[in-house]
Amino acid sequence: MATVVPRDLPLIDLLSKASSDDLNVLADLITDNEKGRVALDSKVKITIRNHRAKGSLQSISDVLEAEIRAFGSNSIVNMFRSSSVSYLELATDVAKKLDGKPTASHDVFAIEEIVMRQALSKYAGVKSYSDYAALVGQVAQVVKLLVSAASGIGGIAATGGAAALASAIGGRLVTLAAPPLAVAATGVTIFQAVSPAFRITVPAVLQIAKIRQMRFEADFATYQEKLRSCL
Amino acid sequence: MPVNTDPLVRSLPDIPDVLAKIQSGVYRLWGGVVRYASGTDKGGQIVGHLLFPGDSQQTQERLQQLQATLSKGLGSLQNGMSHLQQSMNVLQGLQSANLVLSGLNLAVTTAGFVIVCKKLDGISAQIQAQSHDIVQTFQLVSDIQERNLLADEAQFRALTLTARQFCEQGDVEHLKGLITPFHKEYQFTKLVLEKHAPIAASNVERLSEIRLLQDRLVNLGLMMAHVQMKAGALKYSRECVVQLESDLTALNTRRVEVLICDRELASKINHRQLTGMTNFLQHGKHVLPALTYQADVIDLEIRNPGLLERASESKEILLVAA
Repeated sequence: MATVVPRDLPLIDLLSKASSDDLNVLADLITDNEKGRVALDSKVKITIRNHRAKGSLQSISDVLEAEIRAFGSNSIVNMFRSSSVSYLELATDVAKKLDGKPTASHDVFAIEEIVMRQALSKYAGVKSYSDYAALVGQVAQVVKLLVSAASGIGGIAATGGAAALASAIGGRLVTLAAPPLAVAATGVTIFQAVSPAFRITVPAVLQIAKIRQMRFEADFATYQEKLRSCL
Repeated sequence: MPVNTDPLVRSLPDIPDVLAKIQSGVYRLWGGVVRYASGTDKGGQIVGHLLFPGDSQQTQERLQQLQATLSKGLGSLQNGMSHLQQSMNVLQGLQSANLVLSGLNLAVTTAGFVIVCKKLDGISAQIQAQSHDIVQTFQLVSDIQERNLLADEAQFRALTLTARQFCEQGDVEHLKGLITPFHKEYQFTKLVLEKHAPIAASNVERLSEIRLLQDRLVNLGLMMAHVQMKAGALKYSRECVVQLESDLTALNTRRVEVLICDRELASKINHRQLTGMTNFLQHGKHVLPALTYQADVIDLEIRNPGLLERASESKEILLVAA
């Protein structure tokens, strides 16, 4: 039976109840601010764009989920996986990329916590946070920074020889081809964070972690209120 | 000196003036007490006390009649609306308490006492059926001392049977001798519950045993109040009821305090478990108006000896003038 304050809601369910503002961030990341990415089906891009405009991205949470998981199959370690990975695998890869130490005993909530903690430490120099609201606010800032960086590199990577390479290798490994120019433009730290597919998956997992934290806190507040009303 | 209670006591349906004044907001209900509403010349002053029939079924019917009569005032009167609504809420609380406990007069009438005895017998049978889990629940209190549940249960049953016999025979002297063992049983049950209340997980995982023990606590408290009353110690009878009310409130408050702080546990509780927990907590909350009412009734009996006898025989709600 489902728990009252779930930590591990399936991604589709989680996104179906998220706010439009939060889903817009994911939509922009997936579509590169509606400019499109090499491996993004143009029909999917149009679907996402239309729903974003109507504020109804919640109704295509399955599409968003599939696209996010598909990006997870693009890093080198995922070369031998099937077409897409589970969200748990994807989040675990991101946690490892950020020098976290996820284990098999961690659930998705715990892994996302590792991702948030590592990302805040790495990109914002934040080692601790006072409360959940501060955490969510800081995560939002880091996501904004990473989305901006991902867009800059993505634009370059999606042109010329990179596209041909992608075609030859198959899948979305094209993102490995980010040129040195992009590294110089964005700085080594950001490039390390957003290199290969991680430039998409790191901010995506961070954004999803933020959405899950907010949902958890809202569910927990409802649970607390139910109990308090018994007094 | 015995007081002639007749001029003081009247059947509520015979005094429509009181109902009209509750409707208009001049009077207001506080538990089983009718008072002048705040803002009136005599704001807060007691007009009289309601005494409900001894039989729970009749109490329920009379409460519903009273609610129906008062509700006619809702919507048609602008003045005193909030006062009337509050009085309706009081009746609702008493109705819930009556339903939950199967009687508002359990501690203060002989009929109620018999019901409490039967409930305790039922609880004992359930405790025995769940003896394994109950032993584990008790063992949290002391791992060193192995408790002999059967011997304990036998002692408890003997106590309730003896109390019932002495009450029916009016054997006051022997009843007094039972007060200490009653206190011991009550305190032991309360201590077990107090040990578990601050353990958030225990409140969920051991809910069925805790529910049984709390039922026992409630009925023990009511029985003890009755025994004290039969033994002529009305002041202590009232204290038993007030203590029970305070203990239930404290236990529920502690449980809620720990549960709302435990995020990890919250993430493991399913909807069925939460419903079970909130039903249990609500049950404890719904008992409280009945306890407040009974404490007031015992207070009335202290001031007007013989009132209870009359109330238990009546089929109507009585108003006892202040």
